[in-house]
Amino acid sequence: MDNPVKATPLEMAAIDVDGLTVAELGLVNKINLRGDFDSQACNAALTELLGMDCRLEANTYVSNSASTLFWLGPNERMLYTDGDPQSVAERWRAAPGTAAVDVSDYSTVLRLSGAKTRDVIASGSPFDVHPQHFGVGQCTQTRFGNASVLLSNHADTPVFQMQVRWSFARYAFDYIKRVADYV
Amino acid sequence: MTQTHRLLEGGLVDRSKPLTFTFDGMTYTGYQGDTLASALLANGVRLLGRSFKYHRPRGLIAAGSEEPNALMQLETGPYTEPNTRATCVELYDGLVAKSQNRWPSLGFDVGAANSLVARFLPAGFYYKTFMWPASMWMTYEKYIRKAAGLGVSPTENDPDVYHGTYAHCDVLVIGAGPAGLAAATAAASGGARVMVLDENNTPGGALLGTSNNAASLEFIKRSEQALEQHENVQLLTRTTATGYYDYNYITALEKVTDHMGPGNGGKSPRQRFWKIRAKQVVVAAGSIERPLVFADNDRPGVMLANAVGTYINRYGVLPGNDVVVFTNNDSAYQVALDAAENGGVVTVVDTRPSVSSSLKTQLEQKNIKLFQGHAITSVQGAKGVESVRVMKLSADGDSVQGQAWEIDCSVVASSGGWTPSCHMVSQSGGKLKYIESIAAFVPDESRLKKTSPNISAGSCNGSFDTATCIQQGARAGLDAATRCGFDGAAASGDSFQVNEIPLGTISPLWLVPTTHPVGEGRSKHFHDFQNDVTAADIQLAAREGFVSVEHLKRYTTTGMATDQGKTSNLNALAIMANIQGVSIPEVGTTTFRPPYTPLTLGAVGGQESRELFIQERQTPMHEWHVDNGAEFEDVGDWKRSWYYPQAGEDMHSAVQRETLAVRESVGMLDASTLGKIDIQGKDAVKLIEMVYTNNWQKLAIGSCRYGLMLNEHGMIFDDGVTTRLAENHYHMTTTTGGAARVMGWLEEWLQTEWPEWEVYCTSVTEQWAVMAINGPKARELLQDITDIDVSKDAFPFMTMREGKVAGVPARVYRISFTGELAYEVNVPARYGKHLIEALAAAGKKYDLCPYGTEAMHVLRAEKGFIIVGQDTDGTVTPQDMDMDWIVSKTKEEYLGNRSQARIDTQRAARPQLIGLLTEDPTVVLPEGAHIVSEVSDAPPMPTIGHVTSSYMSPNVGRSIALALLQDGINRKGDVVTLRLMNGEVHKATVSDTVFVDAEGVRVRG
Repeated sequence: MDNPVKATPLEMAAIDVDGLTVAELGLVNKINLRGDFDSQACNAALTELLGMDCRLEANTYVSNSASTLFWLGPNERMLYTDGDPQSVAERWRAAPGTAAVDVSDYSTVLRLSGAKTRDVIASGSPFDVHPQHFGVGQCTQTRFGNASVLLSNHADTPVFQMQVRWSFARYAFDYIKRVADYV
Repeated sequence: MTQTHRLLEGGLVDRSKPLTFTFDGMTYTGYQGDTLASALLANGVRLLGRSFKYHRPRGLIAAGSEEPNALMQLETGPYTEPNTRATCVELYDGLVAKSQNRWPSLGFDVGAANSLVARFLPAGFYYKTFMWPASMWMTYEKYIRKAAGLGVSPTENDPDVYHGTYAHCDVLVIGAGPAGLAAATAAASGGARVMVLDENNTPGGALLGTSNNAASLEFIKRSEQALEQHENVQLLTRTTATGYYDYNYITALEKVTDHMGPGNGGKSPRQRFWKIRAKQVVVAAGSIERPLVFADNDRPGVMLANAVGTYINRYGVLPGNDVVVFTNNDSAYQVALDAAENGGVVTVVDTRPSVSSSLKTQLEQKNIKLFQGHAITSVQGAKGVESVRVMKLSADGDSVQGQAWEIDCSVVASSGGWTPSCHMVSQSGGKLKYIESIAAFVPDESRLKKTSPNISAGSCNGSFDTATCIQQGARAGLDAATRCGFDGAAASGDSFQVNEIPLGTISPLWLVPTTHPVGEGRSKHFHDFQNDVTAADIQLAAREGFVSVEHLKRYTTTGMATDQGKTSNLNALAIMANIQGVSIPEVGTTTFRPPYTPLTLGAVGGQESRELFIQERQTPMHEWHVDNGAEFEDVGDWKRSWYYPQAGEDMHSAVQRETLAVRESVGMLDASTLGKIDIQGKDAVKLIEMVYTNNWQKLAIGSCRYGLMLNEHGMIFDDGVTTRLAENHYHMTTTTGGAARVMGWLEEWLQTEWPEWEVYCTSVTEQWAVMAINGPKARELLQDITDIDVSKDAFPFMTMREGKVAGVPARVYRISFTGELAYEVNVPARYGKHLIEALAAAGKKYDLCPYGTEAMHVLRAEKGFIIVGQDTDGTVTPQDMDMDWIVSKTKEEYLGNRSQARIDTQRAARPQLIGLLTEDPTVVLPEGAHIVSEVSDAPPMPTIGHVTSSYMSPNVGRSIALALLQDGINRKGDVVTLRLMNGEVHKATVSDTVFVDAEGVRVRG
């Protein structure tokens, strides 16, 4: 019991076929942050917490070496952090009018890359992922098949990330695997 | 067999690639590039099927997707597909096709007797004859379907795979004929994202069917190359736009591997269903030639003029050596010239009294005989055209006169003009306008639906010559791109020489007279071939008052079925207009409905079949359950452990064992699926007070409370335990199936009614893996693996403690759904598997028994704990559940409060939850069984209640049930009667709902 086994929903399953590589990112610390992000106080607190400028346009994300911050809504952000989620959450909650929830295990993150990536995503998502419409640095909450996902664009090559709820991860993975043959 | 009707040269087929196929058991050959239709025609096969109602012999009418007759049963076994149009099936080696709607054989069909009794099978026949007695419809229907039936559905599972995908573009071009190619080229020139769809296997549209193919093919190639230069252009062939919905949402079916034959597509899907969102749409869907409606115009060999031209020019097939072209406009003259050029003996019968001298000259040069102001009055040849009779038309066109000329022929190429294909624009909500000069409807650009912007170009817009089509297309493509914010280069307006004769002056003759009045005698004037509807049927409909176009359609069935009236609609409207003495636009058109051509349901489902049909949500412990032999139950979309049968156990004995074990030692249940919502903010308690019926202000930090949620009608809609984690921080649990609904409920109220409240809700359902440990030994078990002080005083019932369990961080809630001493251990999901393994190991010495949802149901029923959705059904108040204790009498407001005072919620004799103990303790009542006030031999019987939960309880030692019974709470001790579906009658005593440990000692132990 000293070294408890940690699991991910897909146990690091991967897909590597012609034109598509999919990998589960493993355990990513995730915190759902709430607050009035338009306020000076909130922004200052967040900038201080993460050590980067955290003002975000709608549906974009920003990263530094330790953190990635995604815009989810006017009063909602998703933070991936290398830090201890409990203490980061506590520090954020110290700012007035805020909330923070450790959701590290609520979902897992798939990284999709290769030439077929966009066609695979388009097979399950009505959201337009064409580079003219959804460039690097953008993110969106949409659906993939029946799964709610947080989708983000990380490189033109292309590289996308898909955050999906733990209990939908197998379904989304199987979905990707099946359509990879079709596109 | 040899290809008797194949021309020695010409056409776009690849003569170096012969293909073998069978039709009705006979083997034939065709070429790569043929359709099934052109290959059959090349082999001289004219009789392709029997008609729907009269079982008349039928052959090809068209060369494209408008074909109403040549419906084929394609392939066999699991791959079989009924009602495929031979004109749309690309030939492949080994293709197997069968004719439809004939029995016992195509040549001899007993149903053809219908034709002899046709006067007793008029329009509306089924409605009139089979409506009485209504109970017999089910019997009639079987025979009607068989007699009239189209093809046969496969009985095996579809072995093919399908793909569905979304797509987005700036400009969607529907049709890759001259107008569509020009539109796409122009739109793409400025960088717009362009998609072009065409139902053919190659772009070109009508150009593919013209003579002098070289110039046309050059243009097509030029256009393709121009499009290929742009990364943002997607040209999809074999792709039909099937539906046009609001806000420029267009669906399309791509036949990806159909043309390779069944099972030959490799990993590729058979078909792909496109769901396209376009900023602008250019409709370049072309036009469809109209048949003339004359006596016995359905004989095999009577075809559309352009179809004859297409078979000659595109497929190198002359459908017959002796061709009569029957027309009311100039365009069919080109077909006459093409047929003559390829060795046909051609006669032209033109309904117009005179035609231009230039046309006459051209005919003379080819030795083509011309009858002006004449009409075909009859067609001879039961299974194929043998000759036609031609007579002079009266000046008004209403009758024929003079001598009848008999012309031997095997093909009649008829043209009644052209109908622009307005389906897409009409589906988009755009209105049509009637243009006299072409005798047809076109889109009215001033009455398009603003939210579905589109531009029509080419012949679907009423412009039939290629040069104008290209100009209009280029203009439309440029305009569409400009509207999307792209600067296109000036429209190029490519031009080249096409052998075509423009429409000229069309002289509509909607119903061609014969020697008898229409409807008398044995000849029939068909306007709708697929549904076997004649001009006489329209006359009958008019006589019986079905004059509205929508009534006409339904009464006669004109325009229905797989071709959706592509060749028949306008003729039907015009005939009705003539009967009523009104103009065609006054009659109006019926609504064009998707799909444009038939769709495969598999394609619409796409990849979302089998395990992708609905997500199977699994908990982090799922694998452990599988390894330990669990049977699973679907709860919501989760897979939950139902029970764990041991060797030799059936479900009943497994559940009995598990249920006993929980009360005798200790059991564990995976409770991870329960909905969990984290609620934070200074107004958190205000929200919780509003959504639950009871009081929450005084709940101590670290304490838990059960709550009931009502909807606005005061009816129970969810329940669960909520725990106060910190000053302004709560952890709410919901039912498994209600998790998303409750989250939506909270957000809706917060966002619409109380946006100023500072409270944030976050779903954490999957964050936590949860094992519920229940039973008298639960404390001892937990004690062994936790650093939390689990003593009775340190960790009382309805509190929560944080600490480590099995070495990992945990929140342990001392709550119980069994009435036993119980703990719900929550750990981050990553440790779920670790936790269950640790519990299983530590539990060995306590006889720890994993139990599933079925035992959980029995255990909770023994305690009278309700399951929302099982014991409640959306019409049940807390008082009905005998839970008035949980409804606050002091709170001013909570959701559902108002409805507590409604007359209906206050009325006497509402169904109320009670327990039932059957007279015979071994009888387990079926859930749903009715409690009746009197028993009779058959329903109806007055029902006063029904069983909601029913089990054999090993702990009570007999069967127990919960039921809703009118005024039940006052009837405890009464004996009631239940009458089951199978006729059995049982007596039961109304009891309290708590069957075990009524004092609640065990749970506090």
